[in-house]
Amino acid sequence: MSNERQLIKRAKRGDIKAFEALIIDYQIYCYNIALGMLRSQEDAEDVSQEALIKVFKKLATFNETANFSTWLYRIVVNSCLDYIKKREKLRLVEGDGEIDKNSSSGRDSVTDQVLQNELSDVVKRNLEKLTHEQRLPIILYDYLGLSYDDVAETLNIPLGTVKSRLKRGRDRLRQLVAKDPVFSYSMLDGEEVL
Amino acid sequence: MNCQTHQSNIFAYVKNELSQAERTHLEQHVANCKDCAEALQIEKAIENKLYNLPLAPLPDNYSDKLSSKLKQNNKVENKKSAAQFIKTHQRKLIAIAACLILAIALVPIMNNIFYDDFDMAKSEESYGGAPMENLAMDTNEGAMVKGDAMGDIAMDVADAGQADEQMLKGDALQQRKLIKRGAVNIDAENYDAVFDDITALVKGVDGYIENSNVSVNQRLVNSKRVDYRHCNMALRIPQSEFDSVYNQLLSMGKTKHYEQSSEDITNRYRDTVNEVKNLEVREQALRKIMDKADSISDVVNVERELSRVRGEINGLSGTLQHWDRLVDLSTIQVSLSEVIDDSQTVQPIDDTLWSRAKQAFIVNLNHLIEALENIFIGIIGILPMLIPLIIVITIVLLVIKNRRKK
Repeated sequence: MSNERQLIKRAKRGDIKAFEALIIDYQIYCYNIALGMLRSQEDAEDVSQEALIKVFKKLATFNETANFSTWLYRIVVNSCLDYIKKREKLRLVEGDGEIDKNSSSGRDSVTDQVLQNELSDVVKRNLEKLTHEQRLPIILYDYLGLSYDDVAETLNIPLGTVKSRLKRGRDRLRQLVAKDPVFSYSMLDGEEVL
Repeated sequence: MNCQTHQSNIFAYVKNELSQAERTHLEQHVANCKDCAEALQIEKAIENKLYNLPLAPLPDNYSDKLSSKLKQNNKVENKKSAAQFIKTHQRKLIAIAACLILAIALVPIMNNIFYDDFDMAKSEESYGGAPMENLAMDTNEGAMVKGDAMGDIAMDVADAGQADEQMLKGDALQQRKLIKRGAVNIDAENYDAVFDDITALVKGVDGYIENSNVSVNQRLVNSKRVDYRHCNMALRIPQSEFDSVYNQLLSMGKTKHYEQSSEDITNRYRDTVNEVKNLEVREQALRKIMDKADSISDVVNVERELSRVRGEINGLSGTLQHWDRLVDLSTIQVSLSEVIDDSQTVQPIDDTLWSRAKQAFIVNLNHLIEALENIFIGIIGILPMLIPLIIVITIVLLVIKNRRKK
């Protein structure tokens, strides 16, 4: 931790190498948050990198007593939300045809869905059908393993809201998985029961 | 409890957030309800999957790309920083600039308002207290003219004896009556010496300085303020000495301009003398008539005529006397200018350099303090206007901001 503080101090003075060392462990989480929200690898790469550059620029304003990781994730989440807003505006301008193109692009194309019938793919695919509000707590809490407090801090919402959103999201996810045409109870056979 | 309620507890069950009683209750229900059992099974599987889903690996060269982007950004950032600063702080900068302009504009206004009376008092004092500073010093006849000239003017021309004397001069009018005048402009570096020389010269030939007018001006010579004097004087010199004085004046300094002229009034003088003689003859005749006069009306008429003749004689006698003075004492107008050698030479460093620099520093510091004081006074002074203005501007800005957000 003290090492992180030192790196933050050096990065604040504009030391790019210190900053790179600082974020080396967080990069993958940032990328996965972006991927979870934006679905496209290219977009996730661009947006997460832009977010990290923003982090570097804004580092001077970072309060060192705060949690760096949640501050970092918050910037990534906000960058993704901004990007989604922009993309939606663009879609409205360019017409409806664009929606189909966008929804079919990315790692989970229709053909992938047919070929990949593993339970994990069913879960992932249905996760993407949730709203951002429901999906984000699941990505951060269940997928990335953040604590409730960190999720609340990252999303800048109260702890109770995190819990209720998470529950709603998971309930909805369960219903979606149950209704998924590819899903069958036989898939659960090999699964480890808690 | 129906299935819906049980299913809504499934998530909490999987997360181990139910109380022991709730757990047992759910487990009992699931044992008898297929739908809820399936739902619980799916939930457990999802929980397991989510927890064990591997993180998507970073794309190739993710770190390298980020690194190059960071470096590029840093370069651009450095270039942009100044422009960015201006851009981000545009409003503040504009506000500061506006305040400065306002303050600068206010200073003279405030000066006018607050210091008008003070300045007037000060300037009056300076004029009254230091008359030697850049002024025209008039030393008119009263100061410089010698008593005899005034005496001549006040001479009583009505005196009969004086009139006879005039006649004698008229008789002696064999020589020409010439009024000589001269003008010399002298530039002198040693002003005082030349001035003294001229005074001595005039005294030496029994002349006098009719009037003299000295003015002191200032100008910059080698970035120093220097006083220089200029004197106009009228010299009255006996005619016999005119030429020698004129020549001596020319040799006193650099003469920029000199001229002399003479006016021959011989004929006019003679005519006037004759006219006076005729009038005197007439006067004597009138006196004889007066002696013979019988009636009062005759006396009155003769008396009137006599006084008219006497008046004319007096007037003409005065003119003759004036001419005599002009002829006897020639006038030379001397214009003496003090000149300063302002040829550009390498000046040695002045010993007082440091003290002068110090003085200049103090003067400017005082100006700065004065300006700051004035700005402060100005700002405090316009607060009654400024505060409502700021409130209005703030409201307008907030409204604009809100509209933009919408």
